[in-house]
Amino acid sequence: MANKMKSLGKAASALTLIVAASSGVAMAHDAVNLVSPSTEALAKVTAIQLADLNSPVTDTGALASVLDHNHDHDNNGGATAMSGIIASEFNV
Amino acid sequence: MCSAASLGCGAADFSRVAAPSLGAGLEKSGFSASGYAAMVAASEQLTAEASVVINNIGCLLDVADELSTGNDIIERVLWDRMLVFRGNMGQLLAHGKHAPLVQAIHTIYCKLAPGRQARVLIGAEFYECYEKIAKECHRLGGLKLEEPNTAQLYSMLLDLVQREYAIQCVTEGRESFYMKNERSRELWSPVGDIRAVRDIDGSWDLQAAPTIGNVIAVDFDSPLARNYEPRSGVLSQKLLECTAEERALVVAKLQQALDIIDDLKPLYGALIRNCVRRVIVRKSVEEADYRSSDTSTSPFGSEHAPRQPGSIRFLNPHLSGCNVVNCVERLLHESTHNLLAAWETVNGTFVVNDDQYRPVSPWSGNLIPNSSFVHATFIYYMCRRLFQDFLTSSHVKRADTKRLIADRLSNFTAGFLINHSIYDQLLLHADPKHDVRKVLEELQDRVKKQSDI
Repeated sequence: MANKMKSLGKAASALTLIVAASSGVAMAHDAVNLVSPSTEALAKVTAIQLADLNSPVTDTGALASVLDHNHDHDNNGGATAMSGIIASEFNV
Repeated sequence: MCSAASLGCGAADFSRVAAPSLGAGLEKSGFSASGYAAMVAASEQLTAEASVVINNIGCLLDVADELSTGNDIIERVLWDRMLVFRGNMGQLLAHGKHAPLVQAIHTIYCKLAPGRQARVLIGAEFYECYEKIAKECHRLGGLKLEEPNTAQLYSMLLDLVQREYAIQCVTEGRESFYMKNERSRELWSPVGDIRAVRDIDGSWDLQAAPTIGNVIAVDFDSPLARNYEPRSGVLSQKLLECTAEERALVVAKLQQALDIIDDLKPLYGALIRNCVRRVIVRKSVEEADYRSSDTSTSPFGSEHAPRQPGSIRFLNPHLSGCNVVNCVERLLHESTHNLLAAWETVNGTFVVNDDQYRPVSPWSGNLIPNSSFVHATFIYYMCRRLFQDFLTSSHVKRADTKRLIADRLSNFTAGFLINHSIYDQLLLHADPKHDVRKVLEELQDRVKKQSDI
């Protein structure tokens, strides 16, 4: 258990490695070995076929409804000051 | 392997998980249930153990407490978030599918290799673009591509996929049409870890940004890093150029901080690697000015903007006053915001925000939004766990460093020691959808018990 947890710190997930390795720059570690068999599976996750877009889109308000669910803590929840300069509302 | 049900959704309500931020969900965009199941199955092939349930806020306790399931939960959250973003992209493309501009975006997206499609979806810029288009739709009462603002935003989306495609072309030894017509001498990937640069002879080369932990870019130079954002505590500050020495120093500090976290709390290290794709650095103060100025105002800060997933921002980490202890805390703090925001993207927000009602933070005394308060509780709990180990670790050699860690540790603990339920600090009109009370009180109880209170 302890060893498993210890190894995690140096590792990154397949998704992270695929994204990093896909940059086109050779990576220092063996990410490519991990990436290669995964790309086919990834294609099924990321692909957007024309057929996907051809169902009638009847609810034109759907995009607008995103605002009702949005979590906007852009300038408050996320922003934190180490101390001082940033407005106090940032400082959680 | 997990089923849709084990992800917290039956076949009937898959769209809630796949695109919780869109009322219509994926189904109305033409994303069939079987198609979604295939995507989930495919994503499961890429995760070591996918049979984890992440629709309950309680799963985040496993991460906070570093349980063996923690890493699988982080991975599951990030895969599911990508499915949401994929759904968001599909929604944008489906809504404007008859417009040539939108068709061009789809055509170029389809030319991208799967890894690059993922880079577009989870890079910091896509979700921001999506959100801006959604806001315009809200303002206009629907998608109106003929409106200049909407067209401009779709153009930004076109630019986004074109840049990633252009970089793909460079790796294949080709020059894309976009690059042939590009007058700027550099193009940045939406992930911020690489740029194509036109050399003095006119050909394009790829340059990688410096990284920490092999996979997190330290971004001093991208347009996103150099942007002026009036609402940002970091990016609203002056933009000064970092010298080569300052850049190296920043990268070294951040790498050392990540090394310490890896050593003390491996799961937290994995969280940072997997949730953060770039650290944006802003320099606004010269070291000489910092040393000669009065200390009443601090030039340091850090932040995370949910509309730019995977991106965190640091202000003036090059200064001597920003030490590795600060970086350790801030890296974990902002990265955890990313994880929590990703979970909210997949499962819906912890609580509804109303800016008129802000609870008092027991850690800072400031009035903060409800959602920030929930985030803060998780974050300070995890920072406390990290700093407990940090205080007694061999990484600490100096007495003043030890005092700083002890001070921060006291601050993290103190917030939990208020004499009433920490949940009751929240100012809510209605009970949240998720069992926020139970989780926050659990975190508080554990700290109180450890503190003999």
